Amino acid sequence: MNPCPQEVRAVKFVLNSDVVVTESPALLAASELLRSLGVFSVRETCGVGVCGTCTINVDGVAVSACLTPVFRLDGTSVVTSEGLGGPKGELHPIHEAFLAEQAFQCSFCTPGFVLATHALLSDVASPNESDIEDYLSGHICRCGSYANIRNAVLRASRLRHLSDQA
Amino acid sequence: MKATRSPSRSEARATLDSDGVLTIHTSSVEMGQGARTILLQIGAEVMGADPASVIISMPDTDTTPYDMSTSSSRTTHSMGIAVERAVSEVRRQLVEAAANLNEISSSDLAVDSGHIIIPDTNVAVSFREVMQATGLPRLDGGATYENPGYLNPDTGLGLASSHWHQAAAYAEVEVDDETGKVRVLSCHASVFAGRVVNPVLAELQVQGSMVLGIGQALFEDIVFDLGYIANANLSEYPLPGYGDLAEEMSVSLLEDLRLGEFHGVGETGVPPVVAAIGNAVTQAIGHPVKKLPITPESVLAIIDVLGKERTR
Repeated sequence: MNPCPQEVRAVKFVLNSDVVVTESPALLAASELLRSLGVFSVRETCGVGVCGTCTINVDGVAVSACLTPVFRLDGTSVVTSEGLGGPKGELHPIHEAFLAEQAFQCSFCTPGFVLATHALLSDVASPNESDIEDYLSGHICRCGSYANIRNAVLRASRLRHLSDQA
Repeated sequence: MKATRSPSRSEARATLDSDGVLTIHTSSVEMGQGARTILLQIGAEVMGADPASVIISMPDTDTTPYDMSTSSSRTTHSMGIAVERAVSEVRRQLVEAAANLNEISSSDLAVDSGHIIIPDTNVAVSFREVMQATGLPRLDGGATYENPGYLNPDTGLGLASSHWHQAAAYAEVEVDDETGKVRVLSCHASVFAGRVVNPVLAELQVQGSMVLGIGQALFEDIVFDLGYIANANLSEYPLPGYGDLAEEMSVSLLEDLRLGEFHGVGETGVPPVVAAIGNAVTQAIGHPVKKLPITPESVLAIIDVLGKERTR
């Protein structure tokens, strides 16, 4: 049932392999809760779901955390850029690809692009130009590093093929 | 062509501590453009030090020297030259100290990856060893670089700036004459960089300039309503996204190594990209576009007027 305004609810969800049990205003934006939990890769910018910087992965689907009320997280598994890598801070191949291609300048948008790339490569193993456009169009890079981001996506898809073969 | 902010001044300080580590003190702000990386590279190269052993300070106006601003594509040029000069001064002091210790002329000494090379014997002494032998706590060098410029407010005459950024751009566009939508098919920006410090970052900056240029040419417009900004969010102030880019985008960085001067490339490519897109649309519809951004509505309005003139 949808909560009333001001309603506080208990929510339980998995955040990057840790279980989070908390009480929170049910209609609070997930980006606010995650920030209070110290997840700084989820960065709210526009607050209306058009820029992609607060992207999170909820049960395998990339969504804008600024438009996701906290009660929607109950019972889900949430993955952020921090959670893609290994438990000791090892980087995910997508992180590696973004570094290798210098796919950022200020890097504010990077965690969102990383999760968009993850969603893309989960759905399409060898993306073509129009697949990349489909999955990345909801993300804005104000530094304009799109060309290198594209190269990073292609590199990540190649790295994935290599790790699949191994 | 675009001027850098003038008059303006950048100051830098360099210190070599007794452990042989070079620190560059600068107030330039890193915002993703790569200022810290390239200032460190410039310092390491001038010093003859291993870049991994060079420290670059964070800006702190309590302790780091004055810089007018991190803006107008001026950091690599102004702060770069100030760092170059400050580090040269430290290097001169170090070489002189090493020469005195070895009782030879400082002009005989060479410097290579953190070591002073003594000729003939080919002995390499590390910066640290030289510093320990001198017993000095640190060597210190400071330098200032100024860009003069002043226009008389009454006559508008004078030297606007001592430093100018040069760039050129090419754009090919497609205009939908039913919807008025402009699509950039290909875009090339060419920027005079003087001497490139870091090719990867410099190229990325010009790529970014092209994206900024596409945005200014086609989308970005601050709308005021009774003095208030009416479109202060990204839902009403569209920025170029992945799908708005040209299919072909390329950049070239022109160098003049005889001149050897650093040129800023941060926003240098933006103005010509905007103009090139405007000129391409003008050519496509056969009438000049005089207002930015070139929205579908404004293109359709021009096409409508042209159509009516033709049927009259």
